[in-house]
Amino acid sequence: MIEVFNIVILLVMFSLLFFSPLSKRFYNNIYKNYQYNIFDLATLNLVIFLFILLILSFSNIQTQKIFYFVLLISMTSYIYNFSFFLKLINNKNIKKLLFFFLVFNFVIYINLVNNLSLGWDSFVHWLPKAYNFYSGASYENLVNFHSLTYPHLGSYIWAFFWKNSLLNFEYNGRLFFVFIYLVSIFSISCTILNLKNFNKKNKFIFIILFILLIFFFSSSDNIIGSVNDHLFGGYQEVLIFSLLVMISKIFYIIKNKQSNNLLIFFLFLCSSLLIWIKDEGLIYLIFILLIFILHTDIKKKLKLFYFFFTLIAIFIQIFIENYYSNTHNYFHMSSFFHESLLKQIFSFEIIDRSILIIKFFLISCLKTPLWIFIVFFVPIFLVYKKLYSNFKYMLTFLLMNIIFLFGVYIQTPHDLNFMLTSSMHRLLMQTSGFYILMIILCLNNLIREPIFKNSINS
Amino acid sequence: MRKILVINKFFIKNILILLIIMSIFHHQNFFKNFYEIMTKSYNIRMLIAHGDCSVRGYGFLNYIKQNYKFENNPVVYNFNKEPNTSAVWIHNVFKKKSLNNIILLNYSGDKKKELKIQDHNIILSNYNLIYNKDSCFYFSKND
Repeated sequence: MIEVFNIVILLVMFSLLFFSPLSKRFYNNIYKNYQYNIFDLATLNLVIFLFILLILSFSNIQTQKIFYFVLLISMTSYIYNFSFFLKLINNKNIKKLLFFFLVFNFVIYINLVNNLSLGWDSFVHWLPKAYNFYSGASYENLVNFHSLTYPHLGSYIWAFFWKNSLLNFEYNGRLFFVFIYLVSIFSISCTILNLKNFNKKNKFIFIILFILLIFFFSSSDNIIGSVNDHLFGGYQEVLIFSLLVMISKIFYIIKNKQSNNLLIFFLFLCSSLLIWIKDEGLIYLIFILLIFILHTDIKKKLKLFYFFFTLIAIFIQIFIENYYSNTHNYFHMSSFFHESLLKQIFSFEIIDRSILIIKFFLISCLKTPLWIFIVFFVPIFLVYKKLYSNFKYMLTFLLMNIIFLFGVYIQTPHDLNFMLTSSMHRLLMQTSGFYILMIILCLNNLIREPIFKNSINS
Repeated sequence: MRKILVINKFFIKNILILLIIMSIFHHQNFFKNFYEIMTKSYNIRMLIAHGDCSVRGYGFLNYIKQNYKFENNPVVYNFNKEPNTSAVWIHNVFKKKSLNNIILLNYSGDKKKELKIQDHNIILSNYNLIYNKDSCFYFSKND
């Protein structure tokens, strides 16, 4: 019973912390003319929270102190902005969605808490780091205890909620991963509330359907009802997925609604968090930088600023990791440009490798079924160009992502079969979130201009 | 009567969300999971997930951690193809590793054999067997 109570307390705590209305003026200034909802607000709160945690993770401040500080700010914001909070949830659809969100969280929490198995990489990379922070050791101590080959933010978050919960069980930290995952899914699905072509009466049903579609199809684990493989088994892909979903929504608002400096700053914050979660985050950060430069109508000066800030963020990360690492080989390109690379590229081996990559790509699409939709929608866009007029940037991201996937597996000096079976589906899963909006917007465009209007039925 | 009508109206209005919630409950095995959390302790669920002496050896490592004190972290080696779980289940982050204490999980070989574990040659005859359960062993060095 005490464990169920612990779960309920955690759910209430997450909701209190991340649905807290910091300031009405602040959110209005960020979203300007975009009609935001409670989940968009939670997205920004989460980004702020994660960024604060990132900075404090390098200090020796106890996680309990940080927790009480964050809780105090959140409670104060409720006292001062309670009417604003009530106004935000004073909508039939939002109330229902909020209720659905809480129930959904609780059900997954119960599943996760009963099935405590963890993934292989969790034991090798992420959990030891989390245990280091949980034990009160600092970031510097990671070097004695475990290599600094991988970033630490995900583990720090894990340790943060592991430590600051009623029962100090490891799974408390992973429950936060579920929360951030669901916030991102609800936030992206609620974009439908702002789209005109969906029927007003049916918007709620569409949102629920999209939430379920994203949940079930983001991982085959969800289809079979297991939560303990690569989704919530301690792997960090779920955090990358959630952040990319948030980024895709912020980018959509910047591109299609309005481009204000504060929102661009948030895009920068959110994308720079990626490099502190997993190594691939660096590649996605560069992709976001490129689509920002190529696909937004923002002043060149601002783009230049964004470019330099991103470069600084990357260099800071490489510098910190190298400074604390005892091997000082973080981000060395020697593993990429290895001896047999040229032989691999300039031989017929590249054809064999490419065929194998394509084969495993298709198999991995089944493990991350959202990719089936992505693969299905892209040819439609290419035929009906009107459908993708406002989200070409997603296709650019997709193209770069596929080049990246091929690049990674073509150059790898390790056993390709093993690499593909163990990691391809996870690489696909973590980026699949970025394209969800493409499916929603495509349907919105389809409602406006049905591509089959000249068919026999019409 | 009016109350019943109001309740009925509420259910009809929210039938879709109720159905979806019920199907998610079913899909996620909510009631079974809930029952098991209520009836099985955290420790038992960990044993089910990670094994007592087998698989990842949670039960054995947890027993050693609860009953023995180490000046330095012991070296743990799992002979099954499993990740090294010692960093979380038995080690202290502030202590260094030492070969004075060795824990072997899923070891089916000779107890007097010479082993090569994590780049170290270990002669088991130099160690005392302190505790053993099934195929899991805790050895401590003769000083």
